[in-house]
Amino acid sequence: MQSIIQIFFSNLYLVAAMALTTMGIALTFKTARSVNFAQAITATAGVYTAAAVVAKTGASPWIALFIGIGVCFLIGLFFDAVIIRHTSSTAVGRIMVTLGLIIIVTALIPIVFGMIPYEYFRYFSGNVDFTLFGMAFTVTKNSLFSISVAAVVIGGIFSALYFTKWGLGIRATASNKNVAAMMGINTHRMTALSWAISSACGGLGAILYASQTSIVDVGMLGSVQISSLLSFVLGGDLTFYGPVIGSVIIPIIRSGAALISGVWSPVILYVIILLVILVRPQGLFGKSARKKV
Amino acid sequence: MKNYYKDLRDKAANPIIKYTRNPLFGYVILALVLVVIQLLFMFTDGIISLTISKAIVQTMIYTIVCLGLSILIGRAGLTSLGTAGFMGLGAYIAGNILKFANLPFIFVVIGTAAAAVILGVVVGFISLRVQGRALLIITLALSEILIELFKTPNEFTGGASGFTGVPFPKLMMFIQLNRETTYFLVLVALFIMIVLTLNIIKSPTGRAMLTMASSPPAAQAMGINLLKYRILAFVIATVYAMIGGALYVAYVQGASPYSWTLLLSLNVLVAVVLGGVGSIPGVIMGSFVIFGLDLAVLKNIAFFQKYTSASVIFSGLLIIIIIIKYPGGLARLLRDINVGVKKLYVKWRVYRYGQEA
Repeated sequence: MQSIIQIFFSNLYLVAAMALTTMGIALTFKTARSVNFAQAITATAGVYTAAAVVAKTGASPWIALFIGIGVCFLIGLFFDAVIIRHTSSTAVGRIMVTLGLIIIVTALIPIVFGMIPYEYFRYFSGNVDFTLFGMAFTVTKNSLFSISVAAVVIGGIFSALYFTKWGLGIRATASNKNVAAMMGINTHRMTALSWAISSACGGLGAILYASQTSIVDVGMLGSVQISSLLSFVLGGDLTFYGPVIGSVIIPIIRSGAALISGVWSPVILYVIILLVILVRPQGLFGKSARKKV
Repeated sequence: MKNYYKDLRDKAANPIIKYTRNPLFGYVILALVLVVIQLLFMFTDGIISLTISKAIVQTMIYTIVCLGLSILIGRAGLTSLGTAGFMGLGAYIAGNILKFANLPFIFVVIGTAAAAVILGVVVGFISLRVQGRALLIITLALSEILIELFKTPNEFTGGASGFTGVPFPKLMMFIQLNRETTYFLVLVALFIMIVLTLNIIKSPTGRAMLTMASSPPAAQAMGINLLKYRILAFVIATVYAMIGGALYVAYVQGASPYSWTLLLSLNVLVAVVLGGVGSIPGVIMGSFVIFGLDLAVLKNIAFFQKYTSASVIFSGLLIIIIIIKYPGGLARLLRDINVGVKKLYVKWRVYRYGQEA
């Protein structure tokens, strides 16, 4: 038991990154009705920008954090305003367009930032040791920082969704785009904003992830993206909070699986997720929809 | 009206038109062109480079994989992101049969297809529970399970360092193929697969699948067994993908777990959608654009040789532009061009001979 919880605490930075990425995927899915496969590569571009700012100008990593998030925000805005908005309404078509974006951004990153992989820095060094229920645990301060930032940001987005006029607009757009447009909501602006915010969320998650692993390269977010997509389905796509809870559950299962066998832990994780989705296809927090003929 | 039927009778009697109207005519011509290209590569010096030959083989292998997915999407209305994992499994099974038993290639194909049927039935049963995006993600998870299994150290796949030392396949027990002649093996396999696909599409099975795609409840009401056709559609898609994998391992002589990624599955999906869902010429064009264009064409243009990333950006832009401007895919573009040319011809006739009575 002690080691399961310890593995979970060591993976706290992963929980933060996944929760933020999943939040972004859920936001674009709800408003724009498309699964954004380009989320990870946009976030990678943000991490590259932040790392390059630190390496080239010697600026503080705190400033670089905001520059990286800003770049992701702009890329998201650009994607929606220039490309996604003009795509036909089929869901597969929009997925394909995000794939085209992945290809382009993946090729652009080495041109803009050079071929050499960058490094990223921890925002806080050192560990925190504490005892819980009479068991001793240790967590890096950077992980604690990541998870608290993620909690604050996700909490902020949720309160904005449920308590502000902007959130009302987003929820209306998510519920029915045409009716929302008839009610005087600028749905174009809402979708563009949700793309931008979800990209920025992904960028923040990726920078926090990189600050722990310190590696910056093009494929750094591959596994995070797959886990986020899985947690999106695991939580159910009916609500905003379901996917986020799913993204917390997956690292817990993973740390449990790592205890059984280190090598087989990803396989055990995927099999468990598969079984859960087979039993509840609508996700853990979804309702099953009945289709009329 | 009388003239119209007379025209039709004349056309049916004309042997040339009789052959050109055959649905296989275009594919036979394409196959002949591909044979000539490879012969030029083998027996002349430098007209056709090795890169082009490799690009054509790659396109042909992925066309087989894409044809399977095209039946799944275009006919049965189901989607899958598990292609990479299935193709990888096919590659490892075929690679092991070739390496340790060195049987003739036909037995390799039979062994791979048998495994594919089992896998397809499993995925088909899953597809009854989940649909749409969830099915996309579920097949992705299945593929990830397979890929993780490939990466764990074992004798079957060679672990993370990859599987090497596969000999070129043998044909009929005694003809040993080499790199040049494996090209023809892939070509023959592709041709057989195209004929098979044409027959599946035209058969009652294909029509039942098409009904199921447009409305599952209505199809059920018409007496179509959803379970049977969903499983069949997935079996077809996995068999195609795994035979593609078998041909891949036979040509490349090895496989690495890092070549079977989410990006490969997405690329196959893009090739199908880009070409035009459910259309065989479209799938051929789509897989050429995705898998062959870079190697065969762009690598020979001076601008793209200087800036290697530019060719990748070019294909990314091409995908976006075609999907925005032509949601029907390249097949639709081809039909529009065809119609446009016919209209121009009619205009020219009117201009030249005056209005017909």
